[in-house]
Amino acid sequence: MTWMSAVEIAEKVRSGSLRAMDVTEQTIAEIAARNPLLNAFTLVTAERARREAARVDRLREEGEDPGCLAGVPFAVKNLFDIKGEVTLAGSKINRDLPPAQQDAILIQRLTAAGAILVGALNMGEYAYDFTGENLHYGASRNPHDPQRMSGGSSGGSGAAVAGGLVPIALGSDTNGSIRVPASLCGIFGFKPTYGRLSRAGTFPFCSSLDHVGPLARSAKDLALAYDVMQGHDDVDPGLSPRPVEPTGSLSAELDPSLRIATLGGYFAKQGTAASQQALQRVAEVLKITQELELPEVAEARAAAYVITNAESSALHLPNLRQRAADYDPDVRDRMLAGALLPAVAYLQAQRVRARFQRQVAEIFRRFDVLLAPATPMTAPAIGQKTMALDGEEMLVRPHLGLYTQPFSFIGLPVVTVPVQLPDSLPIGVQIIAAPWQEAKALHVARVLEARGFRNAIPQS
Amino acid sequence: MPLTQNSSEELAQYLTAVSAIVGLSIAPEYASGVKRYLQISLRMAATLEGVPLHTEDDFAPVFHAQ
Repeated sequence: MTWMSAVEIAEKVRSGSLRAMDVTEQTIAEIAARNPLLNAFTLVTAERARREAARVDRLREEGEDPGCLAGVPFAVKNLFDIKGEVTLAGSKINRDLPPAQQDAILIQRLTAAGAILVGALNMGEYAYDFTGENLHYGASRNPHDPQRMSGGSSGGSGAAVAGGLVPIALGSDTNGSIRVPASLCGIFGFKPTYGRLSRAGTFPFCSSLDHVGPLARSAKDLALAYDVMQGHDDVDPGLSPRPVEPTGSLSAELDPSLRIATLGGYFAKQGTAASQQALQRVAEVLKITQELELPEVAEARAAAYVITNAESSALHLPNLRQRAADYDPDVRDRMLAGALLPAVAYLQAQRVRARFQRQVAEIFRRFDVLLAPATPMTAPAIGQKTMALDGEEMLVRPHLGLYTQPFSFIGLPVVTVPVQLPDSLPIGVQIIAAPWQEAKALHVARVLEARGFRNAIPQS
Repeated sequence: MPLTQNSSEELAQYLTAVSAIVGLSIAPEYASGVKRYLQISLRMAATLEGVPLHTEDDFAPVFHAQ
């Protein structure tokens, strides 16, 4: 049962060949057995999970449909509100907040579809992280090599899914925090268009860049969760009024009308052989020969960095004044620096953002899907502070997302697909679509999955 | 972004002066880390100087009256 997909679990629970309670008990037992190694969970909601599983089984026994996610265990990055629990957002400071009054809206929607919440997941403090390390709660560990980073900031989400503890986890992605752990842990990660999924009941990082989305071991599972989570609310000011647009069943045969290109230039620099080989393998399988370069992409990434730095510092200013010692030093020092940035730096970055959005929109008039590496390298060792890319020594924590930042910067939907190279840790490739074209990115991910791009089962 | 062309000492002076104005007390043991990250941010900001922005290039978030 450990490696069953959400689709398989739900089918079996709905048909009566598997009880939600049995799935739940096994999940809780697996977490107890393997979480000491992976450090993915910071909270296990066992009693709640048993109550919800009993409800799902009762509905099924009474002849009612328990929902399209019946009995599917899931867990959430600990910046999602869970009713009755304190929303830590990976921090020490938030321990002083009162417990959440209600679940985050996406938890409510998954639960209503029959999914079973089993806990909250480790993350980089306040999501300002690409490593999965956390000073207060310890590093979430990569299931393929526990001495290596899970990636972050949704590190527990990546570790829990790749480690077989849950088939679906929720994460957040401001600059790459779903896609980086998906890449390093060798699973699928999905960041929909900015404004597609509600952030109601999540602890913010940078409002103008924050996204939420799922991580899973298959493209179909991503789509199943995504379809359930769409919808309107009155809380998230960034939420688009677009109607729900279900992706439905994803074809495993590549739509021949799709115009696909790989991205070179910036995305061929600052990487390693692994990131380029992963992209080449995907391109070969899809028979993609066209390569193009995005204009001003380094500038776009720089602007994303500046916006993140300034917005997060503004959000945290009261605590930076009063409780600076309670932050992880890497987060604190970056936020303190962000509070000192000239306003013009932030405002110019927002102007660059609008310009880059227009430039990329022009490219999407000629192409439907773009392909790029997700991370410049496979998982670094836990504790590794610097990395050498193209001969330049740079800090790991702020730079591991240099390939993901340009796309979240303009809110594009992206699916990360795992690539397993010979004698290598996994690494991901980004499938990028135009705004609101999530279905195209998920479709290409499904095609690749059907052609062998799947999560590897960890040997550790 | 002139600050990126300034010396380490000038950057330290900026850090001290602006943090006081913003109401942030940066402990001496934090100073080197904050300075390092401020240098990264200012370098990123300086990168933006190369983008040929025009008068009509508005900010990405646009206010809408409701």
